[in-house]
Amino acid sequence: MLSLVVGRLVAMVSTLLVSSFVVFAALYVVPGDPVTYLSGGRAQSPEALAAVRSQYHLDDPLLTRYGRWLGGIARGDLGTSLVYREDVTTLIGPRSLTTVLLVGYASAIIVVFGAGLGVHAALRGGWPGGAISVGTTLLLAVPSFLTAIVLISVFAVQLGWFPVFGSGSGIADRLYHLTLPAVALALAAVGVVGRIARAATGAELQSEHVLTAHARGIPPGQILRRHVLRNAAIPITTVSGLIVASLIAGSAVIERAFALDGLGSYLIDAVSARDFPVVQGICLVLVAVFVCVNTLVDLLYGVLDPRVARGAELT
Amino acid sequence: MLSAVVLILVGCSGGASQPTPSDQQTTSDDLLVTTPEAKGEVDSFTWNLPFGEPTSLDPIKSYYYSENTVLSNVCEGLLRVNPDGSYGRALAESFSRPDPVTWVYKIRSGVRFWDGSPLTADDVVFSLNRHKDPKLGSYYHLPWGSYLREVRKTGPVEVTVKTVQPESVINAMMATGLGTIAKADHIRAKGDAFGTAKGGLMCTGPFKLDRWDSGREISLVRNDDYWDQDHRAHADRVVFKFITDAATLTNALISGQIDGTYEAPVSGVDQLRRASTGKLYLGRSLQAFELYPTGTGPTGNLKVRQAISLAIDRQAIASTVYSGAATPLKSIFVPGPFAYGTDILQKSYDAIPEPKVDLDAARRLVAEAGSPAAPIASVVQAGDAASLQVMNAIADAGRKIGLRFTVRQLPPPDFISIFFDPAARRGIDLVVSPLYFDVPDPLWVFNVGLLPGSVQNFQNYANPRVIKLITDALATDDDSKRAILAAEAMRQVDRDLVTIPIVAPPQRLFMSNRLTGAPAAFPYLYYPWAADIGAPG
Repeated sequence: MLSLVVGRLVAMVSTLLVSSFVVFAALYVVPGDPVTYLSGGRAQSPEALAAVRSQYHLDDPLLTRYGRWLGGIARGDLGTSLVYREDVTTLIGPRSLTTVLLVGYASAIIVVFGAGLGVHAALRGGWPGGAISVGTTLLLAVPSFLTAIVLISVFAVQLGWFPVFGSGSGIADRLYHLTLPAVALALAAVGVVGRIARAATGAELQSEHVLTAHARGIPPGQILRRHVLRNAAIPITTVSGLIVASLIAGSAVIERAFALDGLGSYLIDAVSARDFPVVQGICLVLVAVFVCVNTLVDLLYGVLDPRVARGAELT
Repeated sequence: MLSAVVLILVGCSGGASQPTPSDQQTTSDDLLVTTPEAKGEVDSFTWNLPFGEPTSLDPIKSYYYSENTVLSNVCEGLLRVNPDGSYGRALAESFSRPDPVTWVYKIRSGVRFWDGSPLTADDVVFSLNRHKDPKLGSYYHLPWGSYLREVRKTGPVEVTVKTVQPESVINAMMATGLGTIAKADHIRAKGDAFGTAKGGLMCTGPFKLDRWDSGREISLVRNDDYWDQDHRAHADRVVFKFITDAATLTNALISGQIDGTYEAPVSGVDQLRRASTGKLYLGRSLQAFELYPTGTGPTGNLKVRQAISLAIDRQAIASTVYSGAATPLKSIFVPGPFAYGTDILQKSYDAIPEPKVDLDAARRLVAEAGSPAAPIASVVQAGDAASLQVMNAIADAGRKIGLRFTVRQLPPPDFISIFFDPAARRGIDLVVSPLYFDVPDPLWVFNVGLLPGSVQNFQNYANPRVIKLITDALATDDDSKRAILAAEAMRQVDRDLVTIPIVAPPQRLFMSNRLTGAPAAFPYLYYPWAADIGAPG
């Protein structure tokens, strides 16, 4: 198990390093002079533009700038926003909290309801199973923005049960504000995970080892926990891991619809405004989270399936 | 079945996306200047900035909706623009113009910054000179800052401004960020952080900048020591939110989570008219929706521009895109309000024939212009739904008379740079955009875009008659004479169709029923509008 963990950590760090260079360099490959955007497109005198070029070291070679950027990150300094002239860390810190809560809340809904409904459908069978199946398929088809509009119209405007927009302050208030957004974000994914869970559980129920266990008289509860669910957990974990990682970027649409101060919508705004340091900062955070989530999923496999850990030891 | 339920729910809630032709029309006579005066105080109210979070509150970087909507309540200029279009005296008690290139301002005594220190002539000189220094990158530098030859303290409470050439409009611009005064020591101390969420401001206005939570809100608190008791704030606190999505904003207004906004979403007008939590007010505005030829392509030909102008159904655009809340625009210049010569300018505008759709005449003009086959490369700002709808109407009109249009949507920084950077205009024939006049002075447009060398003079328009009329107008002190000269020049510019006017949208103010007093007219960008808002009774 230890060699699995060490191996995965090494892979994680090298992936992060390579991705960070891509994130950094990509913005300088983009056509157009960054200086044009620094002035918000306004007419600027040559002196003003020259001052900006030197302030942001835009004339240094790429690797020097990358090195300086990495050094800054090690100190916790992600640079200064070109648009707001504030530290990037100050700008994305509070927004990260909103996104983390939103994605966490949505992930909890996805895992609990998606896996729960899927497993339930497979165990029940018959028409309840069929109904859940149809339900999850429909959920797959509804785009998140449409869900958001409907939820706001019905639950916020007409019924007044939830706020229309905003992310709130204080944990309880934040969770209250994020309920509709989390549901909107989670709904389609509940459909996906539900279907995978149903299929995986269904396959396990039909497998030889489960039938053998039944034949040998092992209690059904024990079969369910140790043989069915534990094996079905692997494909469910894979899909959930991928979905949670993609939620981070996919939250942008929901953040727009509910006017949340999150990383997704800020990334779009920053790209639109050519605020390079912010785009780099957010991309780095998103890549880091994505890599960490996937590493975590890999390590979870090691726990769920001893063959994976043993396989790592052999290599 | 689930999707059917979903669709019915969306339909019942009146999804605010489809504009429908409306029977409600407005004429300039129906447009408001103010809303009923506030009688009582309120603890706080929440207002929205539809163009998003301000990028800065530093006066030298505040030259757009969000920035100036907040700034006008915390910092003040030497002058201010009143809702009716007249100029008010703010930090300047009086001004005079001893000769065409000199303006002398008497600074008001007894005014204190929020920290209690007195406003001095040094603060005024320091603040004005920041627009003059090219290295600081003030958005007002070109052209206004560059018109300042010298700004000097000439007495304990007197500042003299000398301009490079005779300039009457620069006095009006002292109501904008150009003339906004902040404490010099504070600016020096904060350096680059001045005007940001971290560095804050030190000004004299009816509200103090209390907190700026990046990405969430900006909050102001009342300045109890404000010098102008006529404009003392009725509210203890104002909170600004930054909702940009039209549907979200409309829902937030209808549900009462936000108390009000200027520039209420065009797509939400019908819903807002029906809302029970508040009211939609339409006010006189300095905004205009126009087409700006860059001089290249088929629109470089006057006959082509005339043909386009004859083919566009402005009434239909006002009905469908603006739900009736707009009027067809007959001239490049908005019909008002103006700070001077209102009768002369209004008469001149009224004399222009009403625009009529005449497709036959348009086709004839296109033929006379040689029936250009090249498409007219047009751009609109991405995310501006109204602009795109107007563009579609224009392309449609073009099809009827044999002109082809192509459309590109540009993100905001690229779009804005078109107005300032000739390189950014390469490959573009027509810019489709709303614009607003900073100050109620028709000569403002000439400085900005109709004289040779003006920063927004895309086509290098240089009509000798216009140049002579405007040069004389900028030098004269006589308001009536200036208005007559301006009117003549304006009509010549109209005949040359330097831009193609479409509609004049009114200011759309939505205000909760628990509030009243907000100015309904456009000059809220350079007037402490939030101080006027309070309880109805």
